Amino acid sequence: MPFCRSQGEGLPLNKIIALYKNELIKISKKISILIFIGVMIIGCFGLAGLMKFMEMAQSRYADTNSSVDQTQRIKDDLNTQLEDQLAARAAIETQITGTADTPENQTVLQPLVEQQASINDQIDMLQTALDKEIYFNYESTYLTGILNGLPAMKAEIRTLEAAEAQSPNAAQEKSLEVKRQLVSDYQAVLDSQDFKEYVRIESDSIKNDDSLSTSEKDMQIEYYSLWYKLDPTGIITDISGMNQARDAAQSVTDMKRSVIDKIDYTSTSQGMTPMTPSQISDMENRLAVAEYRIQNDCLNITDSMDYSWNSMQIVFGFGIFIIALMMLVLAGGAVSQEISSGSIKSLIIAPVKRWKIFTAKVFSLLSVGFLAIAVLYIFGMLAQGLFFGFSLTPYVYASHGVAAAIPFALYQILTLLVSYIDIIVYTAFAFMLSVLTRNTAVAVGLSIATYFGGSTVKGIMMILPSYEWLKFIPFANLSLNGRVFPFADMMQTITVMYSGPASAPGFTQPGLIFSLIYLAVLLFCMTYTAMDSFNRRDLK
Amino acid sequence: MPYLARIWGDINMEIALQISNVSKSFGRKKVVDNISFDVRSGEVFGFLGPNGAGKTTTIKMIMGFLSLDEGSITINGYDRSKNYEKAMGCLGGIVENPEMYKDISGRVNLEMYARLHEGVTRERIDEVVALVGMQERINDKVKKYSLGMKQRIGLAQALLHRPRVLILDEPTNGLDPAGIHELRDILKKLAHEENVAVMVSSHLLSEMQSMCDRVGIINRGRLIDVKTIDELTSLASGAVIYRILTPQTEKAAAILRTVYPDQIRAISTDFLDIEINKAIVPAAITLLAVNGIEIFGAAKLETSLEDAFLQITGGGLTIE
Repeated sequence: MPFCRSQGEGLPLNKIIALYKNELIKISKKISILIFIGVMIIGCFGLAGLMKFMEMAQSRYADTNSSVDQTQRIKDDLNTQLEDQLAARAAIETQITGTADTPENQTVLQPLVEQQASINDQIDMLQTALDKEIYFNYESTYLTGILNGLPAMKAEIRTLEAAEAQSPNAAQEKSLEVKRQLVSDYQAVLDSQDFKEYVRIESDSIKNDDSLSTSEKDMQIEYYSLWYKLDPTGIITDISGMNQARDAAQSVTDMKRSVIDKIDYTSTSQGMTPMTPSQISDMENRLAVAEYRIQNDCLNITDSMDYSWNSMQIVFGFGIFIIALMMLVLAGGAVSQEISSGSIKSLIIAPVKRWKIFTAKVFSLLSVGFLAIAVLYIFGMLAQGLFFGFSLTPYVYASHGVAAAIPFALYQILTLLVSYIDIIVYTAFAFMLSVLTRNTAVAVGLSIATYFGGSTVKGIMMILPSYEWLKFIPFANLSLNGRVFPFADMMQTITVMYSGPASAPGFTQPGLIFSLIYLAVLLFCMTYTAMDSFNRRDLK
Repeated sequence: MPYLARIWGDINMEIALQISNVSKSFGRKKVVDNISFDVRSGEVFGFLGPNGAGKTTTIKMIMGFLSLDEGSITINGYDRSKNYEKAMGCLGGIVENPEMYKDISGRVNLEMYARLHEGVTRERIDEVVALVGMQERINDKVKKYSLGMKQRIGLAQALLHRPRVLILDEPTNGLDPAGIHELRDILKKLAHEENVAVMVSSHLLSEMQSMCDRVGIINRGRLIDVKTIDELTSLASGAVIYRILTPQTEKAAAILRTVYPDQIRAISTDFLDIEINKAIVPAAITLLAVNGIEIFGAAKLETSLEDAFLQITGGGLTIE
């Protein structure tokens, strides 16, 4: 029998592939991995199911007594307000009747009469609200808008009337005429509850407003037509009383104006600040995305919380978390556990160079991670489809003001892969610790602590002044999703509170290219350190 | 003994494992100090020394666990530092206890190891499993194996790829007497019939005596000597211990001391041991007889490797 068959060096790849297969066998026999994957799959269905349950509970709530109670509370509140106002009116009336209508008393009487008129307007408003069930302050529809605006308009008309009585002139006459017409139109809308009519009235009044330029007129008219397009009823408000359709229309209009005037109108907190060229191009892209979404009808205007979207975020967030833990446990024990159990002996005695063992381990870890990502994707989407259906909004992005879309299914897997980059960095860290310390507990513990501490460190960095060197901290370069998919926040709603790159007060993350290069260098350094140690160090 | 003839008769006898001027320090302590020896194809080479002498360190250096501070190791003609994979492909062995992946069955463990070598077939795995007598339990997970079974499966793994050099560190640990006997037969068969170079380390000298063709003796990190078993035993033949059976041991000892002072080794109620040359035995017995001592018998005590070993190391065994 021939001994020692020609152990040709052959292609190094053959040995690495053999080692890689062995590593996969070893990993597949680990019970902890099965537990992690099991928890992940159960989590996918469990969390999506939980969200579905909450959605159902929410919609059931709308039909139940508690909803009636809620309405009753609002009515009671309005009634209380009404009574207060009635009492206030009675007090003022007594005061007026108690004051003699003499010329010397006019200075006292005049404000009282005005006050009485405004209280009357308030009473009118509350009365109308109660009669027509328009609950201003609790919801935000075109009707509440009208109702809220009416007292001020009436007061304006009274002022104009008073001025007219003293010195009549044609322009004033005309303005008064217009305002009276508007008020009666609004009253008519309150009666008819016709949103289309409201939009028409608003558009007409904008057209007739001579104080506006043509472009401003167009823009404002477009705002109303956009609102009508997004929500033809005009009354859809979400759970927090926000009117998403109106806010979206407002956002788009603001962005358009901002782009044209090069002034930021969207961020209310900082006033109207001039924008830098990069901010302008950023805004243009956001505008393009918003318009694309509106044109292609992929904007979700609902009257309830978007449980489907939230479910998606929670399911995949949870899955990524589990995968990260699994990878840290695996990588943290990859070398140290083999050394402590002694099983590394059969690898060392085998005719393979140590760098090949190392490489096979790295690749086996990477593939297990990929596999876990794939499992998460499949089961996450499955759970989502099962509970919320498969109609999902695409990801729309834009560059140079031109928008394009990728389907949600593709977007979601790309997001997961980008999230995987973070996991790879932490895994490399755990693996390096495993090789250097040869202590599984230290490697796993330290890397998990770093994984959790990372977000804290990043949080602290956000409130630090924007030092240049901060961007060389590893944590500043992780979480790439926000930079790879900058328009992801517009998937749920296009309402934009724009804060451009230069306007943020604290630390801002470095650019995507910088971070990618940084992470590549970091990964190389960690892998090289680990490999060098693994290749050279004695196994006593 | 045809194999001995083969070993010593053939001057072209192949050197399968060559250790040249190998040294290793842990920190300041020199654990292995300039060791050189050869193991030839077809022989069982015993590597003997007390605990802490540097046996396992030397073996770990050969197996690739430890780097060499100095020196070189050549396996089957391949310099390990230049042709690592070829050299290691000709080597099989067990260091300390055999360790396998505990959650995996013995067979899959062997399959995994086989994958790293070329030309190991499924039939070869079955053959090796049968050789070590593990057919019944080969599909059980390794964590269910006893220490003896682990030794067997470890040996199966070491033999899987038909190595030219087989190195076993303390192979009889955990084996029962039958298992030791079996192992001894397997190793002898491998060496003498299949021409494998077998190197076995141990601190139990008696069992090496029945297994090895040559023995290298190591103490305090230095290789003291390499001898054949025959040379070793004959070394001890210069001064032999004789046991004289007599009830009057005290009186006999007193008489003998007058002529051979400091040569009494043991005194009991019915015998005494004396270390004297073979040529002097008749004179000593005559002396006792003349002085009226009743002698019921006299016999040479069997010498062992132990004695030779103690002699070679000058009795200076140290356990560090």
